[in-house]
Amino acid sequence: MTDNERDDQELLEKARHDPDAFTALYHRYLTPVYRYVFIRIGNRHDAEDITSKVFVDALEGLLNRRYHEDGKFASWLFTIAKRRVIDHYRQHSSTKLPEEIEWAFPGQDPFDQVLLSENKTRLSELLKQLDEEKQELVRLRFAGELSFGEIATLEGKSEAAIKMAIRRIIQWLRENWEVNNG
Amino acid sequence: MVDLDYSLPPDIEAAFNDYLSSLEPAPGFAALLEQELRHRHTELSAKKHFFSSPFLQWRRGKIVELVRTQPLLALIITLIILALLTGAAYAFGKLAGYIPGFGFTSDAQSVYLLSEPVETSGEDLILSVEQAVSDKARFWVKISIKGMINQEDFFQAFVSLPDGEKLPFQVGDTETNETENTTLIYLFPPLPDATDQLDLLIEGLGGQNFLIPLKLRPAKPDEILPSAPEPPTPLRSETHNGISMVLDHIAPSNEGTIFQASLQFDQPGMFILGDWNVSLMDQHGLIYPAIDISSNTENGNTKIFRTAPFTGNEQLTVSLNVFPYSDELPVYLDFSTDDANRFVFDPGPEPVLGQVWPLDNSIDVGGYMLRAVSARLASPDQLLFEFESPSNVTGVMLYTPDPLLLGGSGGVPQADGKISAGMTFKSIPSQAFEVRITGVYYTAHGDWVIQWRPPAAPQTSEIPATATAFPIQAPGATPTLSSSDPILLEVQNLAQKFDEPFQTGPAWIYIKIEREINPRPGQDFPPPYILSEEWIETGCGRLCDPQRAH
Repeated sequence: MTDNERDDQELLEKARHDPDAFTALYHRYLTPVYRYVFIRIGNRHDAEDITSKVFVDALEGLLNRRYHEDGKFASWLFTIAKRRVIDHYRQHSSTKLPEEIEWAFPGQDPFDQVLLSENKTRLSELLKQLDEEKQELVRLRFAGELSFGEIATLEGKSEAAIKMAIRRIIQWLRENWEVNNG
Repeated sequence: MVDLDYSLPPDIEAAFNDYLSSLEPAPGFAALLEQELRHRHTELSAKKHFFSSPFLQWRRGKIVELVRTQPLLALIITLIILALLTGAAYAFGKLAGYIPGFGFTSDAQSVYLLSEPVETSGEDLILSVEQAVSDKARFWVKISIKGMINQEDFFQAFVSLPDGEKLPFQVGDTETNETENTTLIYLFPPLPDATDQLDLLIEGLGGQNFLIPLKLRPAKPDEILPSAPEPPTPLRSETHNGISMVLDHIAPSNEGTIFQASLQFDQPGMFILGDWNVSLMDQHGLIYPAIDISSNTENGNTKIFRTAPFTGNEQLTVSLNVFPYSDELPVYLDFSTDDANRFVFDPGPEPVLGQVWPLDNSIDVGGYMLRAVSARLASPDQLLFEFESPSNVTGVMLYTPDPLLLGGSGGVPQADGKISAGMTFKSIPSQAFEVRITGVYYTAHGDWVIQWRPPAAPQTSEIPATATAFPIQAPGATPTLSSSDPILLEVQNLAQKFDEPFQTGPAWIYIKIEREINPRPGQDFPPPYILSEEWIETGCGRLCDPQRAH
């Protein structure tokens, strides 16, 4: 069990009776969950709506003992998030998966903005070339900030397999980034 | 963010980080969701366990939608559910007095019912016994009286058994309906198995004594049993600061008495913060175990406990315990749906760090008179409000609909007796805004105790061995408890050596283990709910009677 998981565990034990403990968990996971949902949905309004549902589901699940202590809280939370995103697409069947997300760079130097904007565009192009399974790993690892173990639990695979897959993705990104740069 | 072995090239990482840093949740959204989660946490914690069953998680809207769009399917589902519930209830009814996760039931196989209504009369009074039911948990009788003019409180009822034993009633209730008929309900301890006749004695009713012979018959296998009346007047503690403790259900058995205790509030939106428990002590000062066996789905205001079987002669004091101070119950009073508790605060156009605004706003929040006396800009984005309050109020929760709000925090009591509470903003509003008090934290003081004479365990079979303390029970020939715990083995060994010269039979060791969790100055010690007791029988050695050993 990692330090984060141990911290989660302590907070979870308290959170069943203590709103402050659940609030601490909320603060810990709000941004990763929101980022993950935003990337999958592509607009702020729906991302906020889904993020709210994820945390309300988690709270209810926790108080109604649907979450088991032997599990990984982050994996469980992101399982809820994934389901909520899928529900969203089912309910809004006309909604297309976001291909472009509005990029924003508040407070950046104009020169850096141009440079970073180019980098982001290049990154976006590269990520779009990955299949959905690999894109999901990137989202969980970098936006969701999940550990390899947590992703493994969430995806139902071994930790070694997840590490291998992510290393290959990074390798592929590195090679193609340099090719595009060149 | 990424392990060394899995690091991204700097350019990619920078692009990633910048992209992700632009995906921060809006502060207003984060603050509102936090408030919503806090509110929901409080609400959910208080909901009865019934509503937490997965079936009832179905939203009302979905049910209505189903009935509207697919009425036939809805009807079939309803019939299936009814059939399942009826079957389950019947199956449960066949079981013992308490079923974990279900509740208190009767054993239909050993139920006896009144074989026929009985009527008797005295001066101006006609008494009709309408129902009498004997099961393993109790014997109860319902009597209708015509002609009773005055409500009388002090009459006695007994059951006289064929062997001459006389049982006094445990709980009685009187109610008069619109036709001026009076109904008496008496609950007695359980009768000996297969009792089919007895006399009911009522003394002092209208200045008269009545002796009513009753005949009972076994319930038929599929007979619908009359529902047992709940104890008409549940045992209840005094109410302190709007809270009382109630003994809701009691189920005696040979293996232990199960009882349910609840905390009840005199207004909605009240929640206990923290855990609570009860302790049991009899008239001789003996402590009985009260083991919390509440199911996970029980709400925090109701708990089910298992204790020892009783003889019926114990007079118990049931005391509420709260950790760490047994007479101080932390309570939260929620007013989040009530926007009447508010005042308007104007920080002005250019507030300065450290600036103090004197205030004089009195607000009656659920009977607690609070007075906002000042506000202070404690940091560039935080305002701290100070309140004068009654001494048992320990904090308030603040909220404002202003979109700049990031979050609110309840404060702690200050040395001068005032309380403070903060509000954090994205930036301090430049206009007047409304400050709402959405919750009050206070400490309820009191001595929540119930005097209880628990019903006797059924005498139909030998009381089995129990590893739980049973202070008044004479030790029976229980098998030696096997344990691999090195401490217990050492205790057994030492006791054996110590007792051997005097031992003429088996001996019992009483082990009491006290554990403390974060003790604080001034707490009651030890808190009974972390005290465990155990009886262990030692081997009887060469002096033991070999006949008895088998």
